[in-house]
Amino acid sequence: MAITSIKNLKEFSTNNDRFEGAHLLCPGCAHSMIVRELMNCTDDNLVIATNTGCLEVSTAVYPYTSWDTSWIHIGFENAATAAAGAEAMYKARKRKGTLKDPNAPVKFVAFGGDGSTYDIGFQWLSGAVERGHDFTYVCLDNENYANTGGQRSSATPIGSTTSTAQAGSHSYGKKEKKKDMVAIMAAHGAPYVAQLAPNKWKIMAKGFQKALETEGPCFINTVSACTTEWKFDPKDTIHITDLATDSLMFPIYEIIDGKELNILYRPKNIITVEEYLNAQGRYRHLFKPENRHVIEKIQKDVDEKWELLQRREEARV
Amino acid sequence: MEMREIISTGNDLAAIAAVDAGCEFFGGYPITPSSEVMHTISDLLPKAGGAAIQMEDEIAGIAAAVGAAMSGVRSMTATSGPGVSLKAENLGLAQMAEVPLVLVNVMRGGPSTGLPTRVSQGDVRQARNPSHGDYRSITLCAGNLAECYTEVVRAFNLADRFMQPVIVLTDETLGHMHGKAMIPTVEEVKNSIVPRKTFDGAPEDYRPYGVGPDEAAVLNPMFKGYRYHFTGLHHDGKGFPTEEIETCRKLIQRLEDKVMMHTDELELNEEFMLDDFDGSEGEVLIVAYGSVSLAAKEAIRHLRADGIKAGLFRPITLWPSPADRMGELVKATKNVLCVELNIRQYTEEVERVSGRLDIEGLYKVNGRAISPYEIVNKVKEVF
Repeated sequence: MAITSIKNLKEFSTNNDRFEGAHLLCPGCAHSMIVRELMNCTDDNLVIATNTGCLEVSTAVYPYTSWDTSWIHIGFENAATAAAGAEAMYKARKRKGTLKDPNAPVKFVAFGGDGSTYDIGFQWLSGAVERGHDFTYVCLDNENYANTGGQRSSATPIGSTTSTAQAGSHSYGKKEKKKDMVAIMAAHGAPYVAQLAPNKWKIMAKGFQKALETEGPCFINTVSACTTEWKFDPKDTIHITDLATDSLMFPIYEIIDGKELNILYRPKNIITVEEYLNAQGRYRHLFKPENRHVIEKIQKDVDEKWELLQRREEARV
Repeated sequence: MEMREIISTGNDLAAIAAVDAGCEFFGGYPITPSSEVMHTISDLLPKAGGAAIQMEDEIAGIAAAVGAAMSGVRSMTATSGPGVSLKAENLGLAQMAEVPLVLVNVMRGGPSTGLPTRVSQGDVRQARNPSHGDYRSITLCAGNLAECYTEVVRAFNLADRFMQPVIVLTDETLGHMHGKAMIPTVEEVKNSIVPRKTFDGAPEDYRPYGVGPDEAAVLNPMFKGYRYHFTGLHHDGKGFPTEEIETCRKLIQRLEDKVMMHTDELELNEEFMLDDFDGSEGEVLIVAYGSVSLAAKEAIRHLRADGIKAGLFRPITLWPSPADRMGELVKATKNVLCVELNIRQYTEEVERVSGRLDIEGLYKVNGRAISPYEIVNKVKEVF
């Protein structure tokens, strides 16, 4: 059952604490906020699978664990598959009548970073969604391989410097655009797909609840600001996320059944992407005169994307 | 040989060596503790006119490198144990299609995800047979910083000589070790390059796999007018799939013989303080390789100071093993101790080549390096 009253943040963030605080994530990491919100927005039993990544290595350092739930970690790429296997077996045992409490509500959730979601775990996620398992996949998108030294991923935006796409005299960092994972998952025909951000926590909690209550595979891409690799002060996590959503670098929206698109947050004052980029060290080189054209390109892409989202919302197709 | 001094890490040296040895392509994927190889080579290769691509996973990383190597250039990938597990399928393809390739494996604790930032030598047995089927793996093992450079250079030459993947094993200790190394100058390295054989005759006479029973395939670079076929299936002289009984037998026998009949070109060992060994009582032969040999050498100095006649045999080419020399030494010495950061992975080979089953071992699998004192204490305890 979803917890219906999401009134104040303090109450909500402490109501049902199944994600313990003493983990090893960097101070200022948004991963823990997102994970805690998902786990707090429901009373149901959770079976959680996690890909290798910052979240996994920081929350399960034997003999300690942050997870007060069933928790599986297998490999870098296969949380979607682990959740799919657990869900399939749960259904089979329910059918056979071998579950101790067949009516206990259980939800299957998979967490992965952008490296394991956009890159190495892509086909595993695609397969699980296509087979239609009843689970929710949450991507903690911090736009790089933060766990292995900040290499580029296919979620890294154009112009960002990473350890394998370095900005310098001959390069402005990554030259390729970010993969549109939300559109790809919507194209699978998944019943619920969304992009959410922890600064808009009520919207995010509602989105999580919707995904958990929806039968079938749901995909949620969440913005997880990375203080270490994006290079900003750890206290500014939510501020940076605000800039991300208000500049529309990360529009917040949902797509139902691959068709019906709803924009969940419209910034009152849309800010320029320049303001967002300027707040982070990973984009500093873009402000050199010779790289200015990249900022213009990013702004153009963001404007076009926002236009597309609005038109799709109107068109309902 | 003209040498130069460099202060660097094992991972950086492996990347620098590749570029100096004429590597033009790198395909990889981030994995601790080998990521720095990719970081450095992604900076160096484009400047040298090559290409370094970070792919979407380990499998794609080696597949891209195999593709580049097929076209005729020197090509490399770097990873750690879990990555080798994923790359195994393509290593098998490269063995079968005889594609030269260098794979650097910076070993960490296993199995599975294991100990990502801790040292291990647990991939020694895997390096022998990473993929299914009959073939002979060539595996080199760097034992110090300088060898992270020289062994990668040697690997490229061996890959082109034997037309197959060559694995270079280093480990977390060496990969992240930062220090001074004496390595050959770029000039020396360039002069040591032996490019792969090519066929200069008429294109219609070209049979890349139609070579002598112990010879490696002759694969001409692409786009030069010589047409042939790559496949993972059993194939004939032109490279086309076949199930003809004799052709299949000869192919697999040739994959075996091209390596095993030329082990003299591969063998490389270090014998440390073995000059005064004469088979007398009380001599202690330590067999160790990789970063462990650094601790073993230190231990031998301490043992010698205590009056124990100890020496080290260190294979640098692990597979195929230096069977004759290692067997001879182990048979001639009463007290033999194998030291490894795994459980008996190379000891079993030492037993095989010597026919002895009374070899002592010191094995450590907790992700920590072996200290010289542990070896000293073990020697004093068992002999």
